Amino acid sequence: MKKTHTTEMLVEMRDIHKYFGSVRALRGVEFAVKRQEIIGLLGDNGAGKSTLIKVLTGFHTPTKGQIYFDGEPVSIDSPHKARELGIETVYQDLALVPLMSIARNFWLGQELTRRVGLFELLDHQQMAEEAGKALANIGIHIRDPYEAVGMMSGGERQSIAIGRAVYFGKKLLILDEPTSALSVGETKKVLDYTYAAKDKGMSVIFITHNISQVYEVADRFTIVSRGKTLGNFTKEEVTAEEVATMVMSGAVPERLRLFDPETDIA
Amino acid sequence: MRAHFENKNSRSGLASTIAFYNFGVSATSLFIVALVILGWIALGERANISRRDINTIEISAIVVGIAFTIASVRTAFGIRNRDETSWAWAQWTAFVGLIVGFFILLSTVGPQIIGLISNAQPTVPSEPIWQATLQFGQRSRTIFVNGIMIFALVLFLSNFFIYRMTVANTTYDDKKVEKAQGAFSTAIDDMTPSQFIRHQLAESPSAGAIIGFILILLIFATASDTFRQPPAIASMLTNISTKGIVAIGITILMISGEFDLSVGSMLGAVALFFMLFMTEGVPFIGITQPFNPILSMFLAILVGLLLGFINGFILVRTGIPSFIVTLGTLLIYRAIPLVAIPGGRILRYKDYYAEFPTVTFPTSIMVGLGVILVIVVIFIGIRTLPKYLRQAQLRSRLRGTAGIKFGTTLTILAWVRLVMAALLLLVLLSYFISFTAYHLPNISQPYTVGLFDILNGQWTFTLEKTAGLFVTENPSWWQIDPLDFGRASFRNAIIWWILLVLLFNTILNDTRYGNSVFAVGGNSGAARANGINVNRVKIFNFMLVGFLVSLAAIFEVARNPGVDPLKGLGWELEMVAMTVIGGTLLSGGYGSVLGTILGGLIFAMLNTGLVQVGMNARLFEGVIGVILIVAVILNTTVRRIPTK
Repeated sequence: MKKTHTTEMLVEMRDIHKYFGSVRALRGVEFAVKRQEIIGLLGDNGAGKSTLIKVLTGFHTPTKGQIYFDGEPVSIDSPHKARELGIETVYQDLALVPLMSIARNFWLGQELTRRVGLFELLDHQQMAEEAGKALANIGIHIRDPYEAVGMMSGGERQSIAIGRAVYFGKKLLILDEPTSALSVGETKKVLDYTYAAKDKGMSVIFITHNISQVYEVADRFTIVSRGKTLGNFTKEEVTAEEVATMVMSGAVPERLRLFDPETDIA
Repeated sequence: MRAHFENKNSRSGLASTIAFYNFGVSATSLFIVALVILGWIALGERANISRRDINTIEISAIVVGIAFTIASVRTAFGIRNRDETSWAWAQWTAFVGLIVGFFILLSTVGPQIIGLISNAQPTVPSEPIWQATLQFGQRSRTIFVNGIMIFALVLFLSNFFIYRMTVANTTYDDKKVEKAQGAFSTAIDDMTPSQFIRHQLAESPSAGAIIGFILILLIFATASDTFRQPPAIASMLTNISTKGIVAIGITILMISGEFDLSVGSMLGAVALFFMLFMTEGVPFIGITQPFNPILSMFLAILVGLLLGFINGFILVRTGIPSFIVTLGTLLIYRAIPLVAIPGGRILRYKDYYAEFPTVTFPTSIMVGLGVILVIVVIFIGIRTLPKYLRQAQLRSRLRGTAGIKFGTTLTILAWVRLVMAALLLLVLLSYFISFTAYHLPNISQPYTVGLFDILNGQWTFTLEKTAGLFVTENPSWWQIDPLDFGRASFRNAIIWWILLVLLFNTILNDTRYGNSVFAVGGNSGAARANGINVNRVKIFNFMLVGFLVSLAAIFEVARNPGVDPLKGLGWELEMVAMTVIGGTLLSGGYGSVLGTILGGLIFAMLNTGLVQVGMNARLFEGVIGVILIVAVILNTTVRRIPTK
């Protein structure tokens, strides 16, 4: 019997199907995130992780299935709606505009303004200060908020993107392959920010195809393969190698089959 | 050499040389100033005609000479007293001297070079030190060397060597310079003047345009006497005013990542409709009664908005690149006037009406307008002048403190900015007050003025008429009629253009919408991910172009109330050139409306100047092409932002 959802779950995605014409990217995925937990979403390339997240963040609407957020059924039809719900995403391409300054990028879409007569003008000073403070709160120190984002290194840009998401995110932070292009030291910084987000009271979905990056920091793992959920395990239940095997082979090893909720269903 | 400043006992040959040089410069410039004042050296007009009165060139020579004297003395004494900031002074005085020498040289040698390749023959002064006549087939040209040239050459070379010497002995940290930000970063202290200027230029989107503008202005202003006169300036500005209005829209559109090649055709179509509405109504749907001119204006603007919307709509719906879409609409919209005016004749207002349209309204509106303008100027003054004053005072205070050697230049610039802003506001204030006072006596009577004159009429622009306070010969300043349309051809469209530029510059840089425009052009995926409706922004920008095109069309018709089917032909490429020269990136995401003004002015100056200098008109296009390429190269190399 399926568990009735409790308010312990922040996000519940039930029986999500997404078809693009004849391509069935998602074929009945079950995915849930608890409050204040870091969950790793794993799967090989093409398994459907990105599509799943795009459904959650409003880029796609599911062909079939229902999403529950904070206990309520919701229909997320635009990135704006996702942001309103409290979901912030750091995409693989970072969603930063290289030619614009850090301050402008930080506040993109929700700029701070001040009234001048009849008009609302941007408050550049305020935006620069607040961005600097917000990033410093998470441990990111920027030299100059007016510097263009394009002038910074990959790791710095990643920090700004994550810092922005942590600052604005209220409930859920989604990191899509945040460390694939980073050095060891920069990767460690990203993991630190992930902890910072959890401490702030948020849940974090950490998407990757590389278990070693996420094993340390996550509480639970969901593995997706060929459009379906392969398994759902807490850190105590699996080792990193087993997760890696599952990702590569697409099959659950014998030892773990007992714990797999999908095979438990009558 | 550093030791010279740190250790009281060491003696540096270099420092002594420079100190001595500066003493020499100060003495020489003082001497020259005295000669000019006494009349022994004649400059400018006086060099050609014998007159006793002093002229502007001589006054500026005197002022510059005195400034040089003071600066050099200060430098020399500073070095002698081992004052650290004097090393910066030495660099900057050498740098300025080098620049001044270069430009004087340019103004004397430049015209001769232009004369060699064109029809102009610069006037040969009465007693050149050397001259020679060269034969080119049927033309003969005289080249000469005169005293001023030699002076300029000496000035340039000596300062150049001194500059190199001082720069070689300055230690500066490349990395610090790269990351220097703000006016008080200590890295700026160690920058040489050329690095400092490059640093300042790198921050601006239109660095190349600024350099180009100054160069071209100087070359033409010195090469041709008529270039400097009001009629030439007036015709340049008038020419560029309507084009500039359209270019504002093109700039904003380009920043958001799209092109509009149909603007020329849109202009022709809207101009046609405007004229048609006023003269015949809308004959092809059966309305044969012409409309009121003001109604026609609004309807024409609607047409422009519609044409722009069509461009944007096709782009958004089909996903075809805007280049192709607008290439198509360029041809489609051009067909409209060709079809509507059969036979290709010119649709003239005067063919239908004896008089141009007038509007009548109570004079109290004019008075009210004047009062509002006065209040606006006062409001602006109250907000900005104290801020500038505070900043200038702040810089003055910080100037002498340890580590801020370049504070002097920045301080002077801050004070200059304050003074110029105050002067400008004062001029505007007096103009608006005299405007109000002029209309006040007639406040109860109706006021009639030509509609086309309001839109794009001519006026004279003399200091007496605008700065009522500075009148010398006129009757009381409140008796000046600010709407007096006199001889010169400055036109109102110039004012509308400037106002629109200021408006849209603010919108682009200081509003949320402006930020979204930059985002859509810089990375539309990022913009979309942050909740910006990319399609809406693009359609809106296309409609904005349509709106500005219709304004330009109305002003063009007001200036010349006759519309031919080929009106606006060729505008689109000029718009793109102006925008790109001004520093806007073709790929979007970066640019400035103010830069486009510079691009436009460069165009206008080249247009008028080349003709006045006597160059073959066909070469004009070739020159524009060269400038375009050079400007883009300059813009991309001088700027620090990566263009990828």
